[in-house]
Amino acid sequence: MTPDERWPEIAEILSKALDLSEDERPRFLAEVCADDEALRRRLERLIAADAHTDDFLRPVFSLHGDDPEDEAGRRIGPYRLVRPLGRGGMGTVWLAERDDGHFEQRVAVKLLQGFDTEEVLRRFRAERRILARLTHPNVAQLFDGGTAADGRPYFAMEYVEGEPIDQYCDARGLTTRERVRLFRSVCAAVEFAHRNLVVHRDLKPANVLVTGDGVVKLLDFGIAKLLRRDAPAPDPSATATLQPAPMTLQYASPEQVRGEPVTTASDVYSLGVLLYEILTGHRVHRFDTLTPGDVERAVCDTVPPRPSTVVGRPRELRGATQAPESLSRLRGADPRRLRRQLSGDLDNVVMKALRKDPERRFASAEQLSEELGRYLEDRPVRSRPDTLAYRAGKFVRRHAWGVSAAAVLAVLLTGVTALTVTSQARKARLERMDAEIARERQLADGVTSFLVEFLKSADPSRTEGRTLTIREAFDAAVERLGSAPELAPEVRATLADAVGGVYRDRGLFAEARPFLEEALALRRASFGDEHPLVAESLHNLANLELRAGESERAEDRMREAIAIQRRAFPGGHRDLARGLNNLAGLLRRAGRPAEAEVPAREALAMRLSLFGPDHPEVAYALNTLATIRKDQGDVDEAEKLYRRVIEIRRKKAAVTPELANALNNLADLLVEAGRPREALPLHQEALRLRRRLYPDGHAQVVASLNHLALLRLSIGDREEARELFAEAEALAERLPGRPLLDVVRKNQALLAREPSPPAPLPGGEGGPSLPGGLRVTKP
Amino acid sequence: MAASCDPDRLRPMEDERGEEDESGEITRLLQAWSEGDGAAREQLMPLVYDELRRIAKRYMDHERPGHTLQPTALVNTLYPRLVRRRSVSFRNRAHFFGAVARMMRRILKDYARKRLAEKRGAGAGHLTLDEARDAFEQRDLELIALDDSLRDLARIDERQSRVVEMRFFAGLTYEEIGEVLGIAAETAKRDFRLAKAWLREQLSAVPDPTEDDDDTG
Repeated sequence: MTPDERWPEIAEILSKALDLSEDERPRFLAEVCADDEALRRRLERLIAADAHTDDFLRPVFSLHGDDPEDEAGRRIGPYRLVRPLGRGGMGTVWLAERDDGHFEQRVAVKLLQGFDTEEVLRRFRAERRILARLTHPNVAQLFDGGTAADGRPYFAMEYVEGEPIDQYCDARGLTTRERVRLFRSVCAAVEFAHRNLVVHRDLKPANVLVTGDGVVKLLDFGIAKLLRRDAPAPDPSATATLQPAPMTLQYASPEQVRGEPVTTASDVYSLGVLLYEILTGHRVHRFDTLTPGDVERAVCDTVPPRPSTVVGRPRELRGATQAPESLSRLRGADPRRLRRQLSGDLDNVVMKALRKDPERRFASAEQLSEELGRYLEDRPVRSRPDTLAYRAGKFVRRHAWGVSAAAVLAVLLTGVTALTVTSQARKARLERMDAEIARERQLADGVTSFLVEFLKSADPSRTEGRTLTIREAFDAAVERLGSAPELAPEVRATLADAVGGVYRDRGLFAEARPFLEEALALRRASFGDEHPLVAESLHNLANLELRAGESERAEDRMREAIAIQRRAFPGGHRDLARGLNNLAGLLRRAGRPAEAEVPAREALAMRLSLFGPDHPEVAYALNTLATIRKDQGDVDEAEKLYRRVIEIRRKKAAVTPELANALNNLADLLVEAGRPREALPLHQEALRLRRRLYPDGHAQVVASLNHLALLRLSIGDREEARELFAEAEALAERLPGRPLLDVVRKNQALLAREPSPPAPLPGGEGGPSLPGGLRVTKP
Repeated sequence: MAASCDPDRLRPMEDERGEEDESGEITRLLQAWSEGDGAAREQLMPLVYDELRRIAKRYMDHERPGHTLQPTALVNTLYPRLVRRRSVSFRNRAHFFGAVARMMRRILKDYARKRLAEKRGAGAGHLTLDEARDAFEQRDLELIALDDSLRDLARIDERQSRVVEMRFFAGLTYEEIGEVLGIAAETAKRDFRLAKAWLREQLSAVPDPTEDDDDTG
């Protein structure tokens, strides 16, 4: 082909001609071309070529997205694109018309970009029947899905003319109650979808529209699932339109942020976020940056301020500040009034939906909606402030108090947890008795506020930077307890029980006893002798007596408690299982493994039937039984049971104290069975876990170092043993109370002995038994 | 004490299992490049090329024939692979995709030629569109014709040819094209429009795509 030498000149003219309107062009061409007929014909051809609209050279999409006008008029499947409705990280949503000559229908077409078409459509085909069933007045229906000519996947869905729910509410100045009422429709739609086995996964205001008639419509149900995995990861540095809108992360549940399985509970969480925003005008999370670390910290670790608290603050969003007054005005209130409206019931409901642990949220969108219904009818809601166990857990992590404080708190919280459990059991029986519910609520609130006070008093920020010792804080709290005669007996009992538990677990048996006995007496008086809480008090006293060396009295108390629990829970109960397990532990320690085996097996069976095979409490029971079997000399069964414990705990989380304990226990067994080489990796892993769990050191780390050192010594690795002992000694010296220092030093002395040549290991197994070192045994 | 207080359950401390996927290395290099490591670019491009070739092959072999060729859909497929895992920031995004455009063009052309050659036997003579017996051939021919015309266009207006290449083969925006070529976005847009008219004029004339097709395949 001969080079088109005239093109630069022609292009110049063509460019000018194209800038003109069609009417003006002939005159312009006539002028420019004069009598150059060839030129004029060429230009006309080119102008015609330009006017030709088809897909020639049409880029399918732009990586940054632009020129939406390039696509208007384009045909996608049976639809013709009319105008873009919105653009996001996943693609563009178009208003489109059905264009097959049959009937006119306006639909929304979502044209996706950045997805693996085959994969998306494969999933769509798999889900199509389910999604087609999703017809509900509050759900925008999905009609169709397919591949556009260019290979992009698309979905066609009901076109909804409406505005995002938050804007809708603000534009009309809806009051809190009106917002709650509207929001219940959202819950209804979500509940409906859940019953049809569809989880939304991406609930956010942009997907929750309200029409001019005030009808809520949820968009994109089930779409997120079709698009999972291929969605580009949020990319904070990319241009805004490229990433999935970063705001979506605002609505993602902790499990979603961590990439864990998504369930209906994730939608419940997102509903919580939505409700929070609608009610307060504030965002739940503030991300410092959008790096995965910051987002995960905010979503998974940070408990947002309660709605009633946050409305007192100005809102800062994208650099603009909005005063509390103006946010309140949008809700037909002033800040004080809005705070009053939200505090209490709505706070509790929202915060329950927003809990980090999916299991502790509302069990369904319906339950959330019912709570809101109760609020609207001025009936008491059932949601409670988050349990203290959770909050104190946070607190302990935030303030590195040292491990003994954490341990004390853990025990303190055990009492509260047990209370919660018992309350729930009672609640089930007395569901409709509002008076009873109010009473329990008072109990829970009383206990919580007291304990929160206690925690606060230990907060360094409240003591001019001086860190109170745990003992000081605790004694102060106890003093308050003594001088609080207004406390209801049930509240006092619960607190006394918790306080006694704390003293007990710090070894202050004399201090502990009066509190635990007071709790028992108060409960007997309040609830009668047959009440489960009485059984709990008996168990707690028994635990004290056991540690104080009064094991006979402890056994009597435990058996009495178990008898009460058997009568109260004929079908079995987690508290009964716990009692049995504790009794088994007691009997084992008393050197009566054969007797211990009976309650141990019963506890295990009960937990298996209550919780299924992989529950943490099953693991505890297996551990108890394993230890008993070990004492009885059945290495094989003990090993099997310990391995099962490890398996369960590994599934739960890779780094927990319980897993470290289980590894340690199995390692001990193997050492005793003369298989030290098999024990080695287990002790090593336990040490690794404990180092991670207690980066600042802990008696458990000392124990692990000691174990490992002895093991090394026994298999002839003297150098490693020496280093491990040295580390154990240094750590023990550094830690408060110098835990296990004597033990470590005694063992260390073994190093000074004449180094014996490593004994041969017949068949690579069954090495020499441990030198006569002291081992630290786990209770 | 059977109750477990386990605050760490809320924040799994599991070792992050690095998900092995083929684009991990690409992502890493992109990251390095964006942080100013020039050598990373040298290592990156061959990997991207291979990745593109895989995508193109799959596309060319499996897409329904009869579709208008849409190379950007292919790059579109590449994109999430690049950014799937962690955030990749690269200021040179435009330049990167400018290079991707060129690669994409070459890959598609080579592939089309190879397939045509296989089909017709090594000694295939000139082909015309009339001879194209199936839709795949049709598309391959169009692609080769486009490539040839772009080469012709480059001889008379290099810049317009590049604009088309970047827009059609990699979906760059006019802003990005302007960034790569050092021209205003408006100019890029104008170039594209003119070039498109020119190409259409050429291609609807007599495309003889195999004029120099004697050493491929």
